[in-house]
Amino acid sequence: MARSGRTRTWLPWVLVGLVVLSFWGALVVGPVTVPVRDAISGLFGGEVASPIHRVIVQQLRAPRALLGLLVGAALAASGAAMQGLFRNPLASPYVLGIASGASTGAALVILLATSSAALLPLGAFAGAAAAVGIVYALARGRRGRTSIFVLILAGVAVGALFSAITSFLLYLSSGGEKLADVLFWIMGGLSRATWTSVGILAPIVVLGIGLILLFARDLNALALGEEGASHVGVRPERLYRWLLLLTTALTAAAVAMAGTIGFIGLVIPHVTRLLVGPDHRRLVPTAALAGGCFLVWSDAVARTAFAPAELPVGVITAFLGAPFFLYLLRTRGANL
Amino acid sequence: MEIRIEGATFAYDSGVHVLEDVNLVVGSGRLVGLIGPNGSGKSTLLRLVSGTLRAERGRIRLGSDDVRTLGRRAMARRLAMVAQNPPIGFEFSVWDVVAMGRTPYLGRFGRESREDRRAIREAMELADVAVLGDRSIREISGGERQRVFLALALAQTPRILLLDEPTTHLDLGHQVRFLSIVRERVAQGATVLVAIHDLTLAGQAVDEVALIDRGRVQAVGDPERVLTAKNLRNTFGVSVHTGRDPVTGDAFIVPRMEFPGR
Repeated sequence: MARSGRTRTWLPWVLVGLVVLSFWGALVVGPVTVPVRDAISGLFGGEVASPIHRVIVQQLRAPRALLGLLVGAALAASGAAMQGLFRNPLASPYVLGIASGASTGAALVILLATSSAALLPLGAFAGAAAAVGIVYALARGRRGRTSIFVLILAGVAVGALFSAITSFLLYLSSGGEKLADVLFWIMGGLSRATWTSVGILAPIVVLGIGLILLFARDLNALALGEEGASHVGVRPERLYRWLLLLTTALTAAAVAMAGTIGFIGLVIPHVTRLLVGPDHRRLVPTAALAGGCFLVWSDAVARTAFAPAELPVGVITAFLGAPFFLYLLRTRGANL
Repeated sequence: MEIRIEGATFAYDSGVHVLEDVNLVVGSGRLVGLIGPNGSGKSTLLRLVSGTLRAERGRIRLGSDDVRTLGRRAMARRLAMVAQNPPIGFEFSVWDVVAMGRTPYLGRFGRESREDRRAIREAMELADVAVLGDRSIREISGGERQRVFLALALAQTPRILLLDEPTTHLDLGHQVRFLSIVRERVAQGATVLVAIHDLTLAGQAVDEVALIDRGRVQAVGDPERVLTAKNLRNTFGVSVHTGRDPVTGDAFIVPRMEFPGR
C-alpha cells in the first residue's frame, strides 16, 4: 500500500528557486535592459556600470517585482482556499464580489479626489470589504448557518450591482483622462508599485497565507461535505467564517495595490492541483509560489511587449490564462 | 460504549415532527438495526446521535456524556458515521480519504504520526481497500467507494459506529462482506447502530432490531420477535412470508407479490 499524495515533493523547492530567478529576471528585463550582474549589485548598492541602472533597479523594478510576487501569491492562495471552501472548481477570489466592489471604490476615488495616489488603495479596499460584507450578511440564515449556495448567488448579484454603479460613475464622468485611469485600474497592473506598497502588503500576505495553512487540514475534510467534515471533528461554520475573512483580507489587500488582475486566482490553483494533488497543506503554498512567479513574468511581458508603452498586466494574465484553462477543460474537464 | 436515547423529539424547519419521544438503548458491544419505511425518521435519528442535529426535547448520551456537551473533536474520536452516498470533492487518493479519519487526532500543523499511519493502514486492511491506496477516489467503483468510507470511519478508531443504509449500493457479495467487517468490529467491542432495508440480511447480522414508523419506535428486540409478518404488515403495508432456511435455520423474509394482471 503506497503512501500517496507524496508525488513531486521536490516541486515546492523548484518553485522557490524559480521565485528567486523570476525576481532577478524582472530586474533585468524591461524597456532598458540592465546587465545581469548590475541587477543584483545595483539592488544592494554595489558597483554598477551606469548610475541610471541603479535607480531603475532600486526604485522601479525591485519594488515592482516584489509587489508582483506578493499579489500573485495572495490571489493564487486565496483562489485555492476558495475552491476548497466552495468545493467548486469555478470559484475564484472574486466570487464574492470583491473585484466589483474594489473597482467601485477605486473609481470613486479617481473621479472625486484631487490627489488619488494614497487614497486609491484605501478606496479599493473599502469597496471590496463593503461588497463582501453585504454578501456575507445576506447569506447568514437562521441559527447562524451560512449557505454556500446563497453565498455564491449573493456574490454574483452584489458584484453585478457594484459593476452597474461603476459603469454609472464612468458614464457621469464624461470621458477624459480620469476615465482612462479608472479603466486602467480595473484591468490591473503593477505600475504603482513602491517600497511602501510592498512594505504594507508583505506582512498581510505572509500572515494571511500562514493563517490559511492553519485551516488546510480542515479544508481537506470539507471535501467530505459539511456533514462529513463535522463527523471527523471539523466545525464547518467556523471554517467558513475564518476562511472568508482571511481570503477577503488577502484578496482585497492585493487588489487595492494592483487592481483587479484576473485569472491568476482561478487558473493557478487548478494547474497546481494537477501537479501536487488536492491536499491543501501542499496546494496552498505551492499555488502561492506559482502565482507569484506567473504574475512577475506576465508583468515582464506587459512591460516589454509594446515598450515604451505598457500593457495592463490583467490583459496578459487573461491572454495566457484563458487559453490554458480552455486546454485544461478540453483535456481534463471531467477531473477538474 | 452505550448509546442511550431518551425521549428524543425532533422537527425540521417546516415544523413537522420527524421523531416523537424516541427511546432506545444500544448496549455496549451490541449491533442494533434500525428498520422502517422511507421517511420514518431513521436517518434523522442517526443524525441526532452523531450530533449533526440537535434534539428539541429529550437527551442522547454516549457512555456517560450528553452529546450536547461533547465538542466536535471529542465526539469524532469516539463516534464515526458512514452516511448514505457521501460526497467527495476533488481527486483525493483513497489513502488521503481514509487519512481524513485521523483529523480529530491531529493538531493544526502536525503531520500524521506513526500511530496515525498504523491506524490508517489497519483500517484499509480491515475494509479490504489496501490495494486501492494510490487510486483516485473518483475512479473506483461504487462498492469500493463504500468500503473506503467504512475505512475512513474505522481510521477514527471509534467505539461507536453509525451506518446509514451502508449496503444499499453493494452487490450481494459485498453486502455480506461489509456486514461481516462490521460484525468483527462488534466482536472487538464496538457499538453499532445501522439503518438497513434488507430485512433478511438484517435478521442475520444484527443482535437487536428497532422498528421505527412515523417517528416512533414501534418495537425493539430480538429480530425474530420483532420482524413478524404482523409487525411488517403494519409498518410497510405489505404481506410477507417468513420462513427458515432448512439447513442453517436462519430466518428469511420474502414479500408476497400481488401484482395486478400477473
